[in-house]
Amino acid sequence: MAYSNLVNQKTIKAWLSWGLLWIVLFPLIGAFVSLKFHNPEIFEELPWLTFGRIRPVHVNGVIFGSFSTIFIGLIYYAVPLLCGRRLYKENWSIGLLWLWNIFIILGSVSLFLGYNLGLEVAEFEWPLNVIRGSVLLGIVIQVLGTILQRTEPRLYVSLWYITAAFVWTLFNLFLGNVILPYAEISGTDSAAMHGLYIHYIVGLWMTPAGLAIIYFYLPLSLRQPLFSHKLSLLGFWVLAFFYPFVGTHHYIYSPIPYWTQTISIATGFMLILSVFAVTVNFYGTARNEWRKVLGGEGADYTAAKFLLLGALFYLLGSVQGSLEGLRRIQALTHFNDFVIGHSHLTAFGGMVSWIIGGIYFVWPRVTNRQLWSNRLATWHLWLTIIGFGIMLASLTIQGLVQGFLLENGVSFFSSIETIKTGWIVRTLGGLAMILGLALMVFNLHKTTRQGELLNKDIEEDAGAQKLPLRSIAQKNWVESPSTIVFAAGVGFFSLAVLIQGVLPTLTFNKQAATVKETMTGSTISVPTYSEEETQGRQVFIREGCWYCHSQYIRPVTGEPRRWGPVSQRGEYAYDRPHLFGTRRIGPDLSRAGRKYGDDWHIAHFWNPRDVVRNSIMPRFRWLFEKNENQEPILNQDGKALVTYIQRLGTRIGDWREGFVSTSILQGTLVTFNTPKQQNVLAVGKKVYEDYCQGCHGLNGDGKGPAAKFLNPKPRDFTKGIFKFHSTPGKDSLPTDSDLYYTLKHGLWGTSMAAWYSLNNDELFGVIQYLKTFSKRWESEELKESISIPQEPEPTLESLNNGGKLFQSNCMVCHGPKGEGNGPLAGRLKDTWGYPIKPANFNLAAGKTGGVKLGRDSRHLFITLVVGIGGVAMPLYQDKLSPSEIWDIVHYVQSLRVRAYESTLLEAGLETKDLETLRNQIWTVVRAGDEEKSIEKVAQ
Amino acid sequence: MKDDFKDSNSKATSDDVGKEYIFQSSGIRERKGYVPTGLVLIAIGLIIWALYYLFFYWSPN
Repeated sequence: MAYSNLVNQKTIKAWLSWGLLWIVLFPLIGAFVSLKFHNPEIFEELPWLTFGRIRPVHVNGVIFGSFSTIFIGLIYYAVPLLCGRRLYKENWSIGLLWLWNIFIILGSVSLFLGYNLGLEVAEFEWPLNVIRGSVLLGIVIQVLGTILQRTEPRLYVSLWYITAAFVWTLFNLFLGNVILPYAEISGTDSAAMHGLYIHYIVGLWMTPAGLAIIYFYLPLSLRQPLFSHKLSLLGFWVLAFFYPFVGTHHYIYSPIPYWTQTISIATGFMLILSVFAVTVNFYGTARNEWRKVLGGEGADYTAAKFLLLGALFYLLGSVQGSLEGLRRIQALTHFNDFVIGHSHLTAFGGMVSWIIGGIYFVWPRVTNRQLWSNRLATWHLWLTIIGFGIMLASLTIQGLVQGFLLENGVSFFSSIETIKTGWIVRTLGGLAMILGLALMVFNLHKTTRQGELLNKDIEEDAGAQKLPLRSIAQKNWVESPSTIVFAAGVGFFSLAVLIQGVLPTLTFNKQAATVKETMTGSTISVPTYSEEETQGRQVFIREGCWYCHSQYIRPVTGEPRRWGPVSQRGEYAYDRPHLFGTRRIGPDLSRAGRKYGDDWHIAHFWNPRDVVRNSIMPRFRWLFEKNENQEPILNQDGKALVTYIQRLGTRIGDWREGFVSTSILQGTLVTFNTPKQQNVLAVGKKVYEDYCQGCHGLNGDGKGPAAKFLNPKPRDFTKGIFKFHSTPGKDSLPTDSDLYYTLKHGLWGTSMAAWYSLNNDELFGVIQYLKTFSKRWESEELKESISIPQEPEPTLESLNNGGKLFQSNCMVCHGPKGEGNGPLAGRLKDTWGYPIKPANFNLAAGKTGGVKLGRDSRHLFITLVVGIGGVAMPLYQDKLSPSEIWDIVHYVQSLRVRAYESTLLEAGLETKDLETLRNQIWTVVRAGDEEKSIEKVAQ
Repeated sequence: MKDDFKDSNSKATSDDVGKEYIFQSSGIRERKGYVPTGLVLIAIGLIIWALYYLFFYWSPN
């Protein structure tokens, strides 16, 4: 029977025509996304063109617009031919197309506008999901109706995949669009389910859809029999059984139960069997035809070339994917460009190449014209191979480079800096691919208009048999429609969701809202989000911050030293949806709370490059409004976002108090005797320009572009006065070690970040460079640090004495309870005339208004002896004895210990031994040189 | 299933594997084919490895 009698050419052409529009447009948006990596300033004033808005448009657009539209067009050709009858409910097809396009257009617009549910690849609001689900349901009815009415007794392998893909995807969309956003699932449970959902979109929609296409079009374009029915069976059933378990591997090393992750890794590896089976089948089909394929011209051989090219990419990408699941590989490559390379290798290299092959085959048959230009088709092929090859290579290399850099202790910022050039290469490769796609569209357009007529007898819509809906007895049950629908489609899918998605929740008796407090190991409760934090979280989702910033710390690649303690399950109890993230274009934010003062965030949102010169984060001017003086201040959305970020990572106890990365003193192991010392000023200048000048100014005068937002104001280095120094005398110059410690530690509650991520050469370099701003360093002799006598153990008596001394010496500024509210507190100014506030000793580490350089015994002792540079803090060297100073130190520490104790009790602390707990807190708070030395940390 | 496949003119590695089934409306031909021995060995290897991994990496310690 001629194909024209069975298929509706107009319908197919309509679906494919729209698909051709989407297959150029959405990759083009992808190129724009890529452009943002190396030129973030382009169109950054427009909210709807920021990275966080356009990234989901690209991803969803490629999956549902480019790929799925063409896939549906191609199965409208394949299904009737494989069933020997016209499509069931064929007259629905055009209506479904319009609904589908409405979904794609409105869906894209909604994402541009910031309507985003916060679940990757499930971002659309419910009305759009209803439209999408309805269209797919309509097509399922068409496909299954046709299959059940078929005249062809056997069910070809493409129909297995098509049937399974639709059944899986309908269930999966229910999972992603109904259960995840609307059911009472939060935190790690939400992440576990979502991991499955994301991978089902790739593995149970795009993969079977793509395989259906190549299985159908490859034997036809080659005019060769499919190599092996047995391999078809093996490939399909291995995929159907194992793929549904794999998705959890998106969150390896997360607080999702370990055994769940292990299952996903093992089943992911089993998929190699399926991949080998189908690729052997494809290349076996082509094994005697290589000469014809490579030398052949025309639509069919072009189709075969793309299909076989796609099979190669599919093989590489899938094996790569299985390997990536392994914990060791994941530690190295997850969150970076390697994964983006992998997703493009499978999605574009495999699936999109297959539908391109399909469209080259079908287009002449639905337009009754021969392909207009073989040369353009060849150009398309080679632009794809070269462009994609460049893109893939750059992403893969960048990912590996960044992974190794981070593993070897390089700072996150430096690792980003290193791979930036690769992003330009990626854009160029992507543009070559898009040019190839545009040539294809042009070629097919010309084919319709000017192609030579096909030498075939075409009859429009003629003579198909109209059979009543009935099932046909099937000899081989493993390839019957009911087995595929119920065993593969429903059974395996449900089993995997049960084991990987539901069972972890049941095992842990639902997501508990408790965590282990970091100082004492006691169990405390996690509070819910406040109203403002909730609003901030919504802004975080709306602006797509979570596409670049993950929110879980893994126990690998130095992440606990880089960002803070490893994530705990209970921290996420109120996260609906979870925001674990799958990518780190910026740093992880799990522990971002209190890392910087609020002012720093304000300056950062206004212009990230004011505070980190090479930042690629967008500016968020729409989070600001003008005050009465026409100065920019945060609007309600902006304030809420800052409040939300300042909460992150602060509900596991006051971990910053003992965070080794900021507390390591210089120790004996740190030396500056490296060869780079010869070039030290050049290194220091670069570090300064990259990270310091935004606040401190190009000339070190404290008047950088971000300074207007900051309070306290950034230090003016031209006077050579530094807050913290261990050298005797008022405002005396600090030693390199003093500056080193300030840089490493940062100043809590201010915009002075903890630059522990910089290496010693960089830190030493910038310390030397800072000295070039003031003549003091040339004219004055540097004094030696004061010596610190042995610290006595605090006793009740010494604490009482410390309290009395505090009231007589410190109360006037710091207040009777050390809350920074003494009688003089409102009248104090620094050397530059800026108002200053005495520290509140009760506040948590990192809280604005609290102590700035920690409260360990050594630091507090020095501060009392030599004072603080540039402020009214007096020197007690000659006024108090060392013993008295130690008493004050211990009293000040006790203020925080008591305040923290109260906080823990309010958080439902589960302990009966308060005394032991108090001692544990005390130990962390007062930990001195020995505790924090590199030697100790290294043990 | 064996009955569904007809003998083809193409090369066959055994009596059975070269048999073809022709899907009439589409014109697609499909061989009954075989699973290469190498792939069987890979399958065995993968199963053994997966069981080993599940057993030894079920929990962190």
